[in-house]
Amino acid sequence: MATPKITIYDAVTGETVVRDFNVAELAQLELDKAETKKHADALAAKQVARQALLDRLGLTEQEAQLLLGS
Amino acid sequence: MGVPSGYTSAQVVQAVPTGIQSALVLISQTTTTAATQTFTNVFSATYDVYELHIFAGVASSTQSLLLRYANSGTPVTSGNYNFGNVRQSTGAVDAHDNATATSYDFMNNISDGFCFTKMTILNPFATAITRAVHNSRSSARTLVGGCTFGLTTSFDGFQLLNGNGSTFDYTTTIYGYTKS
Repeated sequence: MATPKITIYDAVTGETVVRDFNVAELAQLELDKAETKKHADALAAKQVARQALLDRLGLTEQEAQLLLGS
Repeated sequence: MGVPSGYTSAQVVQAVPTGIQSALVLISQTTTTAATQTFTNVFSATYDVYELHIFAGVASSTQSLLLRYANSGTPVTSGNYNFGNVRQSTGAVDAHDNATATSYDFMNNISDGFCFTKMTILNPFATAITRAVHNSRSSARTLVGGCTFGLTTSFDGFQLLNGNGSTFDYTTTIYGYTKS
C-alpha cells in the first residue's frame, strides 16, 4: 500500500504542501484505524443484537419502528 | 456592482454596509485529494466564531470524517474531545458519543461517497474551552451534534482526516463571523 499523503494548506498565504505521512503520522494512523474499527464493530454488534431481539419477539423491523418510534 | 470600499472581491457577497454587524467573511476555500488535510493560520484574534463547509467524497461505507484542532500544523491528539451525535440511518436513530475521544467524529459510516457538513466553531483561538456544533448529511445518514474540547487551549488551525488513512476528496470553505 502506498504511503498516505497529507495536504497542508496555509489559509493566509494560500500555499499548499503535499507530502507523505511521516513516522509519527503513520503511528497515529494505526491508532486511528484501531479506534475506527472498534466503533464500527460496536455498531455492527448492536445491530446484530437488535435483530436477534426482534427475532425473539417475532417482530419485523417495521413493526419495531412503529412500536418504538425509531 | 463594484467592490465596496474596504472589501476584497472575495468578500463582496458577504459585504454589508458600515454599521451593520455580523457578516460572514470568506477566509479561504480549497480543494484537495489526500488522506489528511491540515489547515494552518486559520484561527486568529480577528474572529471568535468560524463556520466550516466541508464537502467530502468517500468511497467506502466504513469510513469516518474526523477533525482535530492543531497548532502550527501539528494536530492535537489528546483524549480531550468530548463529542456527541444524534445519528440517523434509514429507520433508526441512535446516540454516537465519546467523552474522551482523540478526535471529533462528525460523520461516519458514509454510504454513498459524498457528504456535506456545516460546522460552527466557537473560540478556537482564545485560550478558552472550544465548542463546535455540526450538521452532516450523506445519502443515507444524518449526524447532528457537537464537540467540546475540554482544555482551555488556543488553536491556530485544524486537521481533517478519516479513520483508516484512505484518500478523500475534500472541498473546505472557511468563514469567520465579523465581530462588532
